Amino acid sequence: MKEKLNGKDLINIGIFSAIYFVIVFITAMLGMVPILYPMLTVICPLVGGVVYMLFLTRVKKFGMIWIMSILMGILMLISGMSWYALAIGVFSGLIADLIFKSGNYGSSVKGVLSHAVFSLWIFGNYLLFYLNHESYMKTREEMVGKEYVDKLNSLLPMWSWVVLLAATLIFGLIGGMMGKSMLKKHLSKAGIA
Amino acid sequence: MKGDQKRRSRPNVRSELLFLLAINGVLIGNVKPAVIFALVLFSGLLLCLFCRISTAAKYVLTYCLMFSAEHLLMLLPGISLFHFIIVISSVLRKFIPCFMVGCLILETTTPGNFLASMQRLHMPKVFSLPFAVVLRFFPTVKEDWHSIRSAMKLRGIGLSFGNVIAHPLRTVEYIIVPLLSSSIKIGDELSAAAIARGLGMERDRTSVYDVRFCIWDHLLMLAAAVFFVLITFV
Repeated sequence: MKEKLNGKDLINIGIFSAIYFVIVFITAMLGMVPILYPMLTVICPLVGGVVYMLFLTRVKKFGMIWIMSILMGILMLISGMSWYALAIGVFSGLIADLIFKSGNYGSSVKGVLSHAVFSLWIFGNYLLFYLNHESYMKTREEMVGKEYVDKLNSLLPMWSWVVLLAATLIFGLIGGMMGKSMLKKHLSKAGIA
Repeated sequence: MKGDQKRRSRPNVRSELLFLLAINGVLIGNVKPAVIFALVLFSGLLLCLFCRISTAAKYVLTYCLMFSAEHLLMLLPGISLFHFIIVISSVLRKFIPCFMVGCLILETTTPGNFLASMQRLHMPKVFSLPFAVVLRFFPTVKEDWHSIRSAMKLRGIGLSFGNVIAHPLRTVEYIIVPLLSSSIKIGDELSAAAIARGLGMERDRTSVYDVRFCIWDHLLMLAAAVFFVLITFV
């Protein structure tokens, strides 16, 4: 770390984390509709892309993306989504930060890539469901019977985490690109981006 | 003055966070319904005491409704749609206690108090400062969100469920772009104000907040220990 993060940088992290979190969280409310629940890995990276890309225009030092990623994990912990997003976010944030750093904090291709990796914390929230799958299913079986457990398994089978992970990465890329073009269309003209 | 400080009437944010960590296991393990219900009631009590009674009532009622709806549906013949609803509801229901404590922390902690508490905990500033900004910024974003929504409605672009599904990208564009541009402006003002108040300094800041542990903190930590044992071992 050549330059230390100063107060302004830290405040920028806070501001963008708040906007990003609120927007993603409101979007995630769509997940209350059962069929849309797995779809959040598609929708959230798309929606968060523009906020993240605007954040990147403020990032000039190592550590800002990483801290934001950890903050997302902590906020998820506080809002009751368990600690998996935090565990993933610590690593994915570091990688996202390194990717953007390798482009000297100015490359938009690297920016889009780093958004895809950053979005992995969203996937982290699903680990709660997969990692406790067996114990979860067992109690359900006692409660409502085997037939029902089989149905649930067919809706969200164990292997589906691969699909969700891929969806997060792919739509992270698309979301990053969309965010970039949205910035160009609206915010650059206003002198914000 | 000293007597006043002794009778501080709410727990510190540190013990609230500890409590939250202790009860997080409720999401993972197979916790007995009675334990979860006790936890919901206890968190409701916390919200009544330190936040708003209406908030507490909202969460406790939601929990009770979901719980009873599930059990009513279970009595009905096995249609797969019902099963699906039962599963989703029983997963979401487990989030409620953590949600309640999270709400307590977000709504009752002021950024100044939070920073002072975190400084006492020797939390590095790179985490505590952005987090304090997040705390400070949530209400602002919420306010902006409402005014943008009403502005959109005036132009006939409602944020109804149908609209979101039919034109997802357009909706996103129309909401996020104004939200971002207004937030950026507020953000710049906020950083100027914060730096004027010495938040960019290397040294520790002094604070008027009393962040010493009081009787409420000890009670809350005791409750955290009790619930942790109940959740993990019962």
